[in-house]
Amino acid sequence: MSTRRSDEPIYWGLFGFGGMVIAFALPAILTLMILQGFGVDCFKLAAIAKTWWGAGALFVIVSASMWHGFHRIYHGLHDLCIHTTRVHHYVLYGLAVIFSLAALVIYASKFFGWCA
Amino acid sequence: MSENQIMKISVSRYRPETDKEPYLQDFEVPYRKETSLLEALNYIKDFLEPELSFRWSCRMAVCGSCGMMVNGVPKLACKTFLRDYAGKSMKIEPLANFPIERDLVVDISDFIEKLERIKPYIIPSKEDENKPLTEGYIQTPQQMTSYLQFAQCINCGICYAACPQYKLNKNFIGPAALTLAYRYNIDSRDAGAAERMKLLSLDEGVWSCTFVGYCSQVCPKHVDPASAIQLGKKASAIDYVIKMFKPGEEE
Repeated sequence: MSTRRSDEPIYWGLFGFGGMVIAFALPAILTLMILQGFGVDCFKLAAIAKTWWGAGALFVIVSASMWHGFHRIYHGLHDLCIHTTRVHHYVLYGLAVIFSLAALVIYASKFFGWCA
Repeated sequence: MSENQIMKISVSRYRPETDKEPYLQDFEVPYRKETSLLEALNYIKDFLEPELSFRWSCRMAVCGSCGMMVNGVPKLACKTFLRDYAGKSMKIEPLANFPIERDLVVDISDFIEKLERIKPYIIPSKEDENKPLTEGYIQTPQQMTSYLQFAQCINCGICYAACPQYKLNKNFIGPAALTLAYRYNIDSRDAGAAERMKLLSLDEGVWSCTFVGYCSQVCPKHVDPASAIQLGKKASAIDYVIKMFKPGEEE
C-alpha cells in the first residue's frame, strides 16, 4: 500500500463543481440553443457571449462540464475492469485541459472581437 | 401460508482437503413463515448434512457472523426469511470477494486488518487522557446523533462482498473500515482525526470509492457506508486545501 497522499481532491473538486454546473446551467443553455435553432432568440446568446461576464460564464460552464465528464470516464474505465495508469490519467485530464483552453480561446476571441 | 412448505436450497460446498473447487449441493428444507435462512441451514446440519460448515452466533443481526450470498445478494442468514423466496429456489454461497475457507465460511482477515489500521476506537486528547472517566467523555445527545448511524456497524463484511471497487482492488480500505474511521473522526470525544486522515486520504482510502452505493443498499443495519465515504471525501478534500496553505502543520 502506498503512503503518498492522493491528489484526487483537485479532480474530485472540479468533478463536483462541474456536476453542479451541468445540473443547473447546462439544461438552461441547451434549451436556449434549441430555441435559437427554431428562431427564438429571446436572450440574444451571441450578444451575451460578447460581454465579459457572458463569455466568462460560458467558459466556466464548458470547462467545468469537461472536467466533470473526463473524471467520470476515467473512473468509469476502472468500473469496466480497465486498469487505469498514469497514462490514462494524463490523456483524459489532458483532454479536459485542451477543451478548456479551446473554450477559453473561443470565448476570448468573441469578447475581444478577434473574429466575426 | 400453509405450515411446512418445502424450499429447494442449493448450498455451495467446498472442503479444501477433498474438493478442487466449490460445487452446489441441493437440499429440500421444510419451512414455515417464520423460518429464517439460518434456521434452515441448521436444519440441514442437524438432519441432512452434518458436515456443512457456516458461521453463526446471535440469531438476531447483532454479531455479524452469518453473512452469505443469497441468490447472488449478500445478506445475513438470520435476517433472511424463506417466505420471501416462496415459489422460487435459493442459492446460498459464501460471501463474495473473500477467500473461501470451507463451505460457507470465508476468511475475512483482510477486512479485520484494515479495520485495525483505521483505529476504530476513541483516541483521547492529551487533556482528556488524564481526566477521570466521569469528566473527560461527556457528550450531548446532539453530538451523539451526528455519528450514531455509522456506529451501528456490526462488522459483518456484507458491504465488502457488495463493493465492486474492493472486488477489483483488494488494497482499497473498503466501506465498513472507512465508515468507522469517519464515525470516530466526528465523535466529539475523539482526537485521532489527524492520524486517521493519513489513511483516508490515500488513493486506497476514500478516493478509491466511485459512489456505486451498493454497500448502502445491502447493509443489514442501514449504516449507509456510501454516505460516510462521501462525507470522508469532503473532509479529506478540505484537509488537502488546508495542508496546501499550511504544509508545516504535519507532525
